[in-house]
Amino acid sequence: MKMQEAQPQPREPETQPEPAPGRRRVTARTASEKVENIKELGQMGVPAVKSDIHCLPIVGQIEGHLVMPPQNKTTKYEHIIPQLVALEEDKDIKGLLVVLNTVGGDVEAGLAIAEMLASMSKPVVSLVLGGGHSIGVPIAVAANRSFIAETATMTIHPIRLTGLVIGVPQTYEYLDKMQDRVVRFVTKHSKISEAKFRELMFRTGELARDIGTVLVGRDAVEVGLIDEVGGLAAAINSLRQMIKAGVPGPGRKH
Amino acid sequence: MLIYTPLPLELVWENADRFYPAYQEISLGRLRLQVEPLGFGKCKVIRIFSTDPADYLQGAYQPGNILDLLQSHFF
Repeated sequence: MKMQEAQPQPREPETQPEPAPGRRRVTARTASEKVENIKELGQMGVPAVKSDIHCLPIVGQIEGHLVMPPQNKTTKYEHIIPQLVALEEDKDIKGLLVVLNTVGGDVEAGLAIAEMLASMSKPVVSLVLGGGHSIGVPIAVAANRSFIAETATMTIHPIRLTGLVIGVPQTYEYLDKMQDRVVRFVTKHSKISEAKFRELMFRTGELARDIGTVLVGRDAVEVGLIDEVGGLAAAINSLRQMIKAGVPGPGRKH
Repeated sequence: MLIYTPLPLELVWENADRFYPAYQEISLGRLRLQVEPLGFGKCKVIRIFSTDPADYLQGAYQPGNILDLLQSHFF
């Protein structure tokens, strides 16, 4: 809080009466902010309640060392990583909900985010909605508990066939090594065995352009990749229960 | 860099040869930001340069947010 006093605030929030403990209203929306909301989000106001859990959306491509052309929606790792540090540090934040709808992306950036989540001391719950493909898989399993929506899909496929290496001679051994990093992380942080994961990875006949497997909702739970089929309420409930029971984050679990 | 995605790479890298983002660095108070100038004093936040993790949770400076540098409270 003391940091905020020292900062210029682009949109000065109106002062509010002393908030009640627990959930508190943070700002009253200014007129220009309302116009901005209508323009950008198509709605009047977004709920201004400060929660003690944070929601981290991992959407689109996970952007790593190269800036992607603008048709890609990207999640930038250089922003997510310090955010996770802030969440770990902040005493008011008790847990983290990671919502995934990603088509994968940079291996290093994805693994970096997954490793950060897996080493947090606060409970983390992940929820796969829509899709959690490729490098989204390690991020989903990094949480204490992972959920997948009934209709959400996860694609597991080898790196080598869609891999692009810049500045490194791309040998089969190199890609194999990169793939091992992903396999090792996923099998360490979920209930799936290495043999099963590799079998799904190299299965033929399901993907037209590639070998691999598409897991839909319950399939991901059945192979042991994800813990439970569920939606928003289930994920939040699980996180709240963990917070209440004082369960440590994934960092202390492994 | 290695990309791991089920999307075809030609789709991911489409227009990459014509994409030259022009970023600039500006200072706002004690914060240093990388921004994309949009004209008329407006710019889009691309990146925050800070060693204070709390800076990365501030709503106003999230990447993608548009700042109006002509608004008086920046001076």
